[in-house]
Amino acid sequence: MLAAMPSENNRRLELFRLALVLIDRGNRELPHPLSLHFDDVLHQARILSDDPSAVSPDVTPQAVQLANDMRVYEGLRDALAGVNSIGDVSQPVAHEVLRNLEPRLASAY
Amino acid sequence: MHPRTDLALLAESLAHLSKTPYFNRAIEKHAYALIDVIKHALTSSPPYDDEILRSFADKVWTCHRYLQGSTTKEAPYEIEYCMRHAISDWLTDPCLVTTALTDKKDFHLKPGDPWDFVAKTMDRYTGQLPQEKLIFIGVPRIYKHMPLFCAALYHELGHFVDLARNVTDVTFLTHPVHGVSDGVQEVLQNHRREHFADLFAACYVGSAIVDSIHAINPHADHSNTHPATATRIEVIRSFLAGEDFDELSMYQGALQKLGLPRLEQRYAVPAIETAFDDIRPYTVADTPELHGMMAAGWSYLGKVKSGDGPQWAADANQLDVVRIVNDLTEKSIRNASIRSLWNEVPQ
Repeated sequence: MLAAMPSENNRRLELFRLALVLIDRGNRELPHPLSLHFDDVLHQARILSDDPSAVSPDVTPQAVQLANDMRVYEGLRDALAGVNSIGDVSQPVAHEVLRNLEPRLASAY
Repeated sequence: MHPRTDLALLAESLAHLSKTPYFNRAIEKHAYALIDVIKHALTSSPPYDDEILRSFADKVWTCHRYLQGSTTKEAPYEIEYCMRHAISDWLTDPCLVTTALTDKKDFHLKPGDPWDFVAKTMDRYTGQLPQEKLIFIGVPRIYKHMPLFCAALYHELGHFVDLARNVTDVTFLTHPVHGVSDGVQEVLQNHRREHFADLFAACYVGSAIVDSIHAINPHADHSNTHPATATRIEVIRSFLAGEDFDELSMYQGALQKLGLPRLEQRYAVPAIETAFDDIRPYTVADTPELHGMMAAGWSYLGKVKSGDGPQWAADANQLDVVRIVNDLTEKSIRNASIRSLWNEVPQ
């Protein structure tokens, strides 16, 4: 409507977050396409976070969202330090990243 | 409810929906695919994590609501038709628009497509998923035959494109705002999104979006979610006047980086007066005129309101005039769609 934005705005990172939730819940085997998605979003977001002018038609909306969040929110940046792919995400790391994603996701509902 | 219970109930209801007489074939395909994926999700061994099922159930709930709306023979076909044309300017994927009528002044247009989620989380599903993305439109029930009052949907389409491609978030990469609190950052994000959606709508309906915003809340001040109405209208007027300004350049830059079209006029205001003065639908010439029906219709309503309308309007009450002008607009769009379908038939 001409009033508020739909909550989908904050659902862009839904699959990225789901991968973290599954690890946080003790899952060892993630669906392969979901793992690839996580890696892709993180990889693109890192590039954009380091060089914001690197936006191109191939960049995914999720990566743009995560790059912005990483630039603005220090806690999220710190939580993701040392994570280069889903294989680097342990249960405590997943928990910490989620803790820094959660407040903004939760506010949308 | 537990997601497994919800999914079982939703599958039953979708199966019931698919047997209703007005069900559209294209939509039927999505309903059957949903039923099939639900069956897989509930019987798969080892089972999918409940978090996957919970998110999937949320998506099926949403699909169910809009697919149901498409079976009632109440869908505002003409508005969907205009939206389909505008969406094709921005998204290359095939899309299927479905509508739910809302019981309050709630316009929305959102992506809710479940298929990307299924493809990424249910990797043991071997069936074929539909290619079209589902797009959901919400239109107030009392406006279902009032296309001119649905010009606001073009603003929602602006939000939709923004959500789908993250245009305004790109502007925060290219034009960041430093040294403000998280709260202020969020307000700035909201305001950029609203200005973008306004400019987007202006590309298709011109000054009709000013009329819509003014009609909804003429004196609104700045809020956390929206800029003040006066500010929004000023930005739109500058754009329509062809002025260059920093905010517009910022959006154009983001669109260019993303490989998307520029913000520019995509409508032509048709000369509807002769036809409407005779209470006849106008013959829409092309797609720019299709979108231009909104600006022309609002302008015609304004003319009638100022006492400069045709003889038939002079003797009618205001609600009748509003209804007749919307009805003529609706029929003009409907005729355009029928002619287009006719021309597509191999001769």
